[in-house]
Amino acid sequence: MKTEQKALTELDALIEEVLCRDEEAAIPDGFTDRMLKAMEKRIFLQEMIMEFGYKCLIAMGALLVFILIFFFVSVKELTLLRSYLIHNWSFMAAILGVGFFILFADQVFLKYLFKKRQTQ
Amino acid sequence: MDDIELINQVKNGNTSALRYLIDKHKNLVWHMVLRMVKRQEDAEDLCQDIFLRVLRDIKNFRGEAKLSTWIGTIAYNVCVDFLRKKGREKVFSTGDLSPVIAGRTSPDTAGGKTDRAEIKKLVHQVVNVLPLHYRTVITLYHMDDCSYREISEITGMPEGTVKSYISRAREMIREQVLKQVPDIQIVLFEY
Repeated sequence: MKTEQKALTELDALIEEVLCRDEEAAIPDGFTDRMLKAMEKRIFLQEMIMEFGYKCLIAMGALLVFILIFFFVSVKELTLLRSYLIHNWSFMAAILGVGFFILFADQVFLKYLFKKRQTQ
Repeated sequence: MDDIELINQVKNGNTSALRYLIDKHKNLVWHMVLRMVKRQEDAEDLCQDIFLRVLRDIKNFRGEAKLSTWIGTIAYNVCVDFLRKKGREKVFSTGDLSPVIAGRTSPDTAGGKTDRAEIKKLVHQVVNVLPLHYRTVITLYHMDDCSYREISEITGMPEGTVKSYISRAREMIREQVLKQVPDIQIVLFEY
């Protein structure tokens, strides 16, 4: 009976040892560095996208100023400009689309790609 | 560096502070994630998601709880969401899994003899097939030295339930080892 008790106590101690010190749950090497790299990449991408968003806002602001100037200086010319844009809307849309793509590729995509290559 | 100072530095974009934060809490996060999802490849991806979420939400951290408890809560919720999406296991199952444990574990009796190392391996196997909540709480309690209260805050379970799960988990491990190694006295006192 005493031996049985001793065995159970010993078993409990062994279980405690395994629960407190699991060698198979050891943290892999370079864990912190990998976490940091992943976080830096994500932060970088978010900052690039935000910067790009601000630049788009500035471009739209510049366009608005352009329209306002025409509005106050010469409404007739503004009307002519408006009808030109409406008649050639597909061409204007294509130019805006290409411009947007080039700006995005330059300001976000390529920068992220080069940053990714640098950190690998 | 105390938690408040650390958080302020991280909010200001200090990379060294971020590294320090990861280093300080990596054990807690890694142990919990690995024990919950059981696969190393998934564990590392999830740890990344967890630390990214910590970074994103740290500006909203008001200091009502300990930083480690807050990070532990994020880790726990991310793992539970992951397991639910993958349908890997019933997240809230606490049914009797004795037949499951017995069917998925076996002491490796090389040469017909079981030694302490094999018993340790068996214990480890049994822990891995315990229900999710059981193995989560015993990991937090034993490996990460969390108090019952901290475990309760991390998992959202009442303190009484946490205590009961830890106690029950240990009983289950003991039962299974005794079932599978009937001559345990001989094994333990031979060494």
